Amino acid sequence: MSHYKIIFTGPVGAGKSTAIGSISDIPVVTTDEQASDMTRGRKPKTTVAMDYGMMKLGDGKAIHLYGTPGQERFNFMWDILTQGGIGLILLLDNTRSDPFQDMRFFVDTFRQFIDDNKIAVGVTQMDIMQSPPLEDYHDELRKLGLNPPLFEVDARQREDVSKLIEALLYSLDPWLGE
Amino acid sequence: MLRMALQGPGKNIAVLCDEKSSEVVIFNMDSPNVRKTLLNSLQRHPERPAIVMGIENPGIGNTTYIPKPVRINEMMRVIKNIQKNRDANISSEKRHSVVDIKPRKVEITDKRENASGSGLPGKTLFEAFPNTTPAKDHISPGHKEACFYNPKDFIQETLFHAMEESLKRQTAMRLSLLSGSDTWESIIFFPDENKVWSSMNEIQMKQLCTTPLCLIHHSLQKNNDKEIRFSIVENGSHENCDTFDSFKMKIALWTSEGRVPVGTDLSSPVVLARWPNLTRLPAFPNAMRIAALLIDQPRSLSLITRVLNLPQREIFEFYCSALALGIVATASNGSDSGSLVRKHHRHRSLFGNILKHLRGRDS
Repeated sequence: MSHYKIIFTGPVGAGKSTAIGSISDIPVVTTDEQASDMTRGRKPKTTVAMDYGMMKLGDGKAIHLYGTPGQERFNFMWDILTQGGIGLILLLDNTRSDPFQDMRFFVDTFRQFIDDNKIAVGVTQMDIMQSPPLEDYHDELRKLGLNPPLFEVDARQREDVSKLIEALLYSLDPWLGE
Repeated sequence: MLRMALQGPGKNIAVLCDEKSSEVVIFNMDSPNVRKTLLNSLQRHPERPAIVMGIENPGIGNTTYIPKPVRINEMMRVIKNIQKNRDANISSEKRHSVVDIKPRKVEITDKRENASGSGLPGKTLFEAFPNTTPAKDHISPGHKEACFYNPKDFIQETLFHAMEESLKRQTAMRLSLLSGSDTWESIIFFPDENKVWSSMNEIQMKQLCTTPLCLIHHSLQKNNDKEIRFSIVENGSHENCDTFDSFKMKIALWTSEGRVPVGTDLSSPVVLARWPNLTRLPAFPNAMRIAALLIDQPRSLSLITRVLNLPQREIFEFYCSALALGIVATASNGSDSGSLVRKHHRHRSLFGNILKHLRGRDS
């Protein structure tokens, strides 16, 4: 049976593990460890290998949800995790000092995967920090030659994460609603 | 405002409608060029009673004058008299094709008791307020003009102008809806907070949006930020707050009533410049489907309606709202050629299953 995945990526603290937990039908399998470097400033524990969740679609079918570790030093995991992926969800934390730099980094890292598939972007923590606004993200993405779905997201809210995935699917096949 | 007055304190004694089907016409004599319009109307329909409202009596024959500020009791008395005279005439002429002025069923809820629809979790505007759903598609053959409306005829443009002014000046602006010299309702724009506050609830706002602008007296003022803020806190009515974008979308949706602005070429391809923030803006039915096709490549509204097999009004309302946000434009190469080529994804059925799963759990 094919193993279809949706990949969640983004910097430390953007809400990848939480987002997977919001829509997974099983308890999320995490590989959290005590943060021992500058990550500790943002959260006490961080994902070191991956997060895993699953949506059960019925008839034994499932879509697997993988979250990449946020720290760059674990990037050897990223290529492995993206194999068999149907699309990428990039979560960005609006309270970070330079979220556009994060965005450029992750888009650049996953560029081949994005070009072969699609990306949807969720900006988290906008309730805490409204600036930069979504319009600026659109402008930055346009400079990278991308015009993906881009929504404000609360990773704890299932409806927000659902909409992001829906938009990813419609980007992959705009005729899906036909 | 007149519509609200007739429905609220007027107890649905009459409803506002278009000129063709009206039994009584009401003229606001303080609007520009209205005298000429009134005289034309009287010439074309001498049998139809006319009410004129104004600060001064214009002294035009065959009209009933109501002085401003208009008191609703006075308005009701005049309308009742007209109804009584009409019924008497009908009776004497033994006419059988009587069309009564019947009140439309519109539920008016007191604004202090009703929370804003955007605050209802998991509800679309349409689910939260079913009465706000436009009742029909404007697609009947031979009535193409019914697909269009002129935004200048409604308060939409005034509201958007007030918003732009507040952003340009970076100061709070208050749009007051007036009854005589008194402020009836207020809408306040706070550019710093990206918030719009209204003293009206969403049902009242919708009614305001569909009321002809010529019937609405308003004034736009720059106000002291602290005073406005204080008045809101004092009233304790924070529930009617919206972000600028959300407010714009709702106003465009309500004004549109399933139509598009006059001059829109339904066969010209249009393109969505970027995705709207669908997690935070008013929930439109099928917004995701419409947005995906319009962002993929330029496509005409008529084509989108056809291929998605959706009610036309849903496409038009989405278009009007996107237009209000400034994220949709007519494509420079004006043809639908090639936009019908379907490239289905190889995992299409899987995607369908995922969508079904997500929606099943959300509902």
